[in-house]
Amino acid sequence: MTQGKPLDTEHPKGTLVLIGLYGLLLAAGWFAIYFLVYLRRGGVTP
Amino acid sequence: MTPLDRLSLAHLWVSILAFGAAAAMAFMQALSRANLDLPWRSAKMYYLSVTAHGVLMALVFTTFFIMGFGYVVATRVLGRPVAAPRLAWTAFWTALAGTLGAAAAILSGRATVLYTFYPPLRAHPAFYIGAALLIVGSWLWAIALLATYRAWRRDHAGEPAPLAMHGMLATVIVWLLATVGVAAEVVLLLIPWSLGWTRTVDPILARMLFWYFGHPLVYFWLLPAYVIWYTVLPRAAGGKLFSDPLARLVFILFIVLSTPVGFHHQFMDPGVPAGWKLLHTFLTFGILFPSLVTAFTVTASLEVAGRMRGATGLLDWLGKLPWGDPLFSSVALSMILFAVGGFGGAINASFGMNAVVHNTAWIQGHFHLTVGSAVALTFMGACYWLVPRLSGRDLELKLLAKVQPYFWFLGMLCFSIANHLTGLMGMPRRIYDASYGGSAAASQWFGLTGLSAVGGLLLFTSAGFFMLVMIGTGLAGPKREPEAIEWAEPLQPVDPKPSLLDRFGLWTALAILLIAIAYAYPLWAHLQMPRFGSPGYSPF
Ligand code: HEM
Ligand SMILES: [Cu+2]
Repeated sequence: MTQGKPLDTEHPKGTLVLIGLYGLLLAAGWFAIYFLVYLRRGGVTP
Repeated sequence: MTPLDRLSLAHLWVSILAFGAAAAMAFMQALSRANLDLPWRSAKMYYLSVTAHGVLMALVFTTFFIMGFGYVVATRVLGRPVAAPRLAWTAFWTALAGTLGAAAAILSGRATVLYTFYPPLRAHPAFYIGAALLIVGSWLWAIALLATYRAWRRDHAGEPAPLAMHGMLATVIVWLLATVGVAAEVVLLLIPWSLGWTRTVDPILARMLFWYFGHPLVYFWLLPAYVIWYTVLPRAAGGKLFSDPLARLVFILFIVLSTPVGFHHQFMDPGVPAGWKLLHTFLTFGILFPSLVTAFTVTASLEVAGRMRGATGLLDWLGKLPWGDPLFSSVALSMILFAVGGFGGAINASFGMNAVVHNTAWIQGHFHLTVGSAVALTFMGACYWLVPRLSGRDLELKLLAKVQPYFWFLGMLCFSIANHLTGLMGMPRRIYDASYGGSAAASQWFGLTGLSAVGGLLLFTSAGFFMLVMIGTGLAGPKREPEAIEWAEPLQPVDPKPSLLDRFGLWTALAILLIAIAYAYPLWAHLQMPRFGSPGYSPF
């Protein structure tokens, strides 16, 4: 393991990109099931 | 090997053997659901097998691993012996006796009630008494861990517990709060009923009590996996934990939010008022938050590791991680599978949409990603790490250990994607014959059940590799001076003064308050209603 000074670790930009992307996919998947499966089959909504 | 390492190892071995037996059954189930006519295939055998598989995987493999891992944390992180070794061994033997009793009832065909044991399905009393003993054993384990922590505190007044112990304390608290429900169900309702002392049982009350326990049960499985993600993985990756306070916050949130969400398993049940189901829905979305924080913190720790190994670009750190190390790859792949499972979980938890997926193959696709991968694959990875270090034997068959996590990953993708899709098409879970007696509607999912069976084959191969490595290591691994069991350090030094996040008593009190809000009224109201008991049934 290379023990240098804590490099550019203050701001984990790769992680933010990955987690952001995941959040978007999660939301997109949720809406996809909501509109394309649930409502299309006549979901129970007030 | 010290006597304490022997204690931890004994638990790991029970866990590993339970996993091996359950994996063999699972393969048969996956083939049966693809309509492959095996010679011994019958409904009776199928449900016996699913009961044994569910119990051995979800209740035995997990619980024994967690108990053993708890002792590893207590002894190696706190750096002191278990405070009550006699009690700890009593816990082990009690839990093992319970497991053997329940397993005997299942394998002899007298407890085909699935791992949720919903009444009015009725099992032989040995099954319920065995389950109760397993829980009593786990309580004794909890006491032994708490006593060890107290002894440590006496010597370290005013210091916060090291993070791994903080996580295990959260696990213990969640477990103690949760098991009240199942203990009440088993002791007050099911044991007297199975012994014939009471004639009928109230299925709705039993389900309320079961799911009061059933959801925090998943956090009992998951929190030790998170402990490994936070305190073992960053070091295995050659880096540091991105944030210690965030990790502490996550464990505290689980103490508070794990229990008052159980109605999300009962959205389709009659007898539970819709308003209370909605409250549990909101709390369920609340509990997604600590898991998202975990995804962030653990991924950021891996990014730190990749950068410490010289990565400079946006995502090239991913390539610098030790993907050939079985501990690392098991845990990292388990996290990816968990991310997929999180998507399904958000659908399950949505009050209305739950109706689309309820009791379909989707659910089985979902929980094999969560407990069956995030938890199970993490635990397998941890076995590669712990068994050699505890037993002083070198890992055998290293090549198999290297490829095993990838087989699991691929197998689980095939298995779970296929099951999510067939679930949306309406294929139920818990059926042994996917053809529905040759109905036309069932013909549309045959390609997918085949894919699921291919997944089952890959998973079974993976489980076989894991068992070969473990048994080979245990019996024939060359003896040597064991490597140290080491834990990840945080990027920033831990504040030596305890903070609000270390006040376990306070958070436990808050959890109890929230549980009372979420459950007291529905339970009370249920007990006021005219209730109709049911006699017991055993279909086989
Ligand atoms: C060896 C790989 C595995 C395969 C091929 C497999 C396959 C299956 C199949 C086909 C079912 C029956 C589904 C049904 O009829 O509804 C099932 C149920 C189940 N599995 Fe697995 N599984 C595996 C590993 C695991 C693991 C690692 C866990 C958890 C640690 C797990 C937990 C469960 C549970 C709790 C059930 C539910 C039983 C029930 O509905 O009562 N499985 N599995
Ligand atoms: Cu749940």
